[in-house]
Amino acid sequence: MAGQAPSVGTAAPRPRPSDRGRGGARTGAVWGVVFAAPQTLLFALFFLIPVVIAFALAFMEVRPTSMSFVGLDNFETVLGDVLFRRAIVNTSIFTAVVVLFWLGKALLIAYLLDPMNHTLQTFFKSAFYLPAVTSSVIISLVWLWIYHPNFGLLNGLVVALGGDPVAWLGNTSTALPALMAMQVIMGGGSSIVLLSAALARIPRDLYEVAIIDGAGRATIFAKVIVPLIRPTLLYLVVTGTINTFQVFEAVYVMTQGGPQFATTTVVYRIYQEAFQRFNLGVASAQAIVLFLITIVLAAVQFRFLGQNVEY
Amino acid sequence: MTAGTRFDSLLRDMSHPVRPTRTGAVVILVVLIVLSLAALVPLYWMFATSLTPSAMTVRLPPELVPSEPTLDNYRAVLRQPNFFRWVINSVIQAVSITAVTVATASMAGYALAKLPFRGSRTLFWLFILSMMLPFEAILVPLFLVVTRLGLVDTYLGLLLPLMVSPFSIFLMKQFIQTLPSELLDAARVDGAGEARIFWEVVLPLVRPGLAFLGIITFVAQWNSFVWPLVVTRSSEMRTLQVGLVLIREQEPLFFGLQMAAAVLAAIPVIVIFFSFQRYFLRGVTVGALKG
Amino acid sequence: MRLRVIGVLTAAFVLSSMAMAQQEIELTWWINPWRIVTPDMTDGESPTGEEYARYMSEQFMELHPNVTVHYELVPNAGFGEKVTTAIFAGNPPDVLKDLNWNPDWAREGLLEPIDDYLTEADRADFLGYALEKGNVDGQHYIWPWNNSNNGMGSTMILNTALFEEAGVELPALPERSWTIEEFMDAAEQLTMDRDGDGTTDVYAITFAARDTENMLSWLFRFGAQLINDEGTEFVLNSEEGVRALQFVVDLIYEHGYAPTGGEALDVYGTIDNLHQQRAAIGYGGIYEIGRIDRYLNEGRMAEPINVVLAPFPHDPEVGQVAYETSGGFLVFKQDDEYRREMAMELARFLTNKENIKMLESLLYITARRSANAELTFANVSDYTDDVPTEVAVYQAAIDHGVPFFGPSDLDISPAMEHFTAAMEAALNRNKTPQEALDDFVEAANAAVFGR
Repeated sequence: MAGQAPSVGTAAPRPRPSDRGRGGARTGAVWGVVFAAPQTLLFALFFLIPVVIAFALAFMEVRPTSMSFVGLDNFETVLGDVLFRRAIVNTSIFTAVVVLFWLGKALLIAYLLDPMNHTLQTFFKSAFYLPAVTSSVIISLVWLWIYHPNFGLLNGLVVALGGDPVAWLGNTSTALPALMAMQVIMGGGSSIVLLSAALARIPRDLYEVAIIDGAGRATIFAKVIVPLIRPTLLYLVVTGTINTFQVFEAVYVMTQGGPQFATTTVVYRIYQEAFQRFNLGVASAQAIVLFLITIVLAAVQFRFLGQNVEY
Repeated sequence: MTAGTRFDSLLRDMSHPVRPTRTGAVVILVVLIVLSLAALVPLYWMFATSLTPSAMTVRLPPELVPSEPTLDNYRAVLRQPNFFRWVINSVIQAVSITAVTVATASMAGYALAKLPFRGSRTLFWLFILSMMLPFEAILVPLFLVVTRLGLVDTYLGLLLPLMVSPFSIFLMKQFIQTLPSELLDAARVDGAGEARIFWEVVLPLVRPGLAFLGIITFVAQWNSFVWPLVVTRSSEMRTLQVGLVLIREQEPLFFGLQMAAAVLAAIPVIVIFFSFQRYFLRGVTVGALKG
Repeated sequence: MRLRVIGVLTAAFVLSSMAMAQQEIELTWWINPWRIVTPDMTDGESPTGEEYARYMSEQFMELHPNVTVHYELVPNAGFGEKVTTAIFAGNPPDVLKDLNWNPDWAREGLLEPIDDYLTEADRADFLGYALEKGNVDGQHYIWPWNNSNNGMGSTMILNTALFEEAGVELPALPERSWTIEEFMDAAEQLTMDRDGDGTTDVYAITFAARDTENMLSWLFRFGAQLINDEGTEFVLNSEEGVRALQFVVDLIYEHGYAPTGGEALDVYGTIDNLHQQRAAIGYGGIYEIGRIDRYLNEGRMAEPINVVLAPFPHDPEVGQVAYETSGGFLVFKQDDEYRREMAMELARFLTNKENIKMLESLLYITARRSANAELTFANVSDYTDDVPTEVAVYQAAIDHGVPFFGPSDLDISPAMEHFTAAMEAALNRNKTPQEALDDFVEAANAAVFGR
């Protein structure tokens, strides 16, 4: 073996991280605390404390000048509240349908785009992402106008095709579907981008192997593509579900929970309870229920969709 | 390249093993156009209505292209009391929160990635866990905290809670983690202080990450609604998104006005989107970062 | 010796009251936009509501140089929320317009009773029910200001041109009172299909589910009430109430005199139909005639319409029913005597005879008898033939006013979202009038009375 010159010489050995020595690590640690401090302080004051208070408040009755402990009364009120239960049902339906369709749409588009020319991809990704960049308030205002029973664009189209105008947001059977349609059509831009990136990362040889094995498009999709984009899909389903469950702006701007509570959602009820009726105790109990539902949903999805996923 | 292959690659990526036929590609193109139009037509309609005189918006059938375009609606928007204040408030919100969040989150991300201290692992997991909790769940107690601090209807009350961003910390940590520690050690050996290392070594290397974080934070803050709705009370303190809804509540029949206001609120974000397109289309997330 | 003590005490008293009188204090008052024309506005300028608040603050400060008055113009939407937030944060204004006020504030000791500050002359001059609106447990908390609202729930607006086209005579003066039967006959004629294409071009009237005041007014036609006299339960699902709601539903679906789709409309929908001449009859009083003027000036209405007022039609066995309501100013609890005095002084200033007459420019009637005697309402003459006639019709109508929402010290707001839901269900025919009202009463009783 060729001799390696022993490390002779006057240069000091190059320090390695493990050689920093206790002094170095301690200074590092102090600086670590200093650097982490600002965000941590903000986090403590405007997140941790509210979280703790959230649990405490749910057991109190809160009046302008005083608070009193009322045990489980608020939870009893909440769980017995027909409208809150209705909100849970509405929100669940809304979330299930929206996540399913919007993820389906995103997957379809990403799948269709994947084998296309790069410029085309960029063009369409932009086109789909653009609506996602405008705020929910703006989207809600625009669609409120589109759904207008007398002069809206949608009814204009319906009438032009020979139908009768429909009060999309005024009819109990069409109001929630109208909101769902709006979310599915306008949303999903960022999911498309994510799924596209995930699809692009699939090694080409896997495709070639499958083709050699005689697999058709459908099989390739099921056996090659889906397993490999599973982490991204799982991430999108879980975050999509959690986010969609919090739907608020559309209800606040477009329907205020109506007609006849057909579009009332959990966060909207909490808002009404807390900021219109100022029952902060009851609203906190409602928020706790929301939080529990969210955890359960996330856990269930992880369980059933997260098998065989590597991190 | 022959004309044939050039035509071939017009629509399709010819190196993709599972690509459609030429006809298939055209069909796909049509499908994509239809789907994207579904999402873009409403935006066009918003713009078209904003240019339509009020009396014409309440006529049937709706005009697809305004026959008598006018800027009256925009003039009416600018006449709305406090409209300028609302814009300024939104700018203040977006700019200051972006600046502070990017700065403090990169600092915290750096600390968690490269400057371990006792409890930093716990802190990290606490941040991760908190990302799972939706904002709306702490809306009520947060409001109570802000109220008791006397910060309702103030800038501090609006801005401080929104500066908390575990996601940003996580993002920056991931970016910084990929930096070779040797680089930092070399700088330390050269006698540089930690602050200088952060400023002169770390930050320049994660500039794309900072830019990305800055852009998505700016857009998210410009578009935010729930917290500004709850914490601002007087007309002068409202942000633009809240103002849009106030305009609608006060002038429910004045559609041209509502759409003009919406267009004005959407323009900054659309401009940012087109200027920094590549950041949005990069598809960076928690999972993808590892790639 | 005694003289010296008296002398010292007098000096002390004089000095301290001088000190109090010179005390620099700041008062804040909140009001929603009232588009009153103030003397310092230029001709033709359209008020936004800001001018009134500013003008009154400046005038008060001139009278009391040691007091700085801050006003805040709070939009209608979210008014109640903003006030409640301020109460929660411990910094409510000193004087407040009573929009959406909650009588519980008085019970929780947040408000100052005004009884000690009302003179005998005031008590006699203020309209009785206006003063009683602020009565909580025997003490009064509201300085009355406006009598009645913009007419919703009390009077209707008739488009004279459409009446003429349909060949229908206007109800007879001096009060234009008409029975339900007469109204039905008119409505039949007023529903017109001008071009014979089978679709109605002009309806007689519009019903809007989210238009609480007018819907309640219709429901009271046959004698029903929202809440019983004792203020202990909701009774809208009485026979008379159901009959009235059925009457409304039949007008839409059986006779076709009103358009379908009312479940999605609010009061602005009815205003729009009237303005666009899709309906011959709209709702409101003098203020709403003024709205025509305002919308024309702002380019939101293409052509003017000529209108007159009429009360809601009545059932001869029940008599006329209109909406008795009024508004005024509350004074919040003050820490010290002088602040309390000046806050009361501000409220009194806003509602004294000279200043209360400023409501005239807005076409509202005031809560003071002496002021009402001097109103002339000159500025809506473009849209109606004889203003004083309409004013007389309006005042005659609101003379039959009854409180729609029960005793003034009861807070029924938690129930009203259920009322809207009930109206939506009925106008949609999702539920029969009986079902809708039964469900409403059940939910309302639970929400307000905890049953």
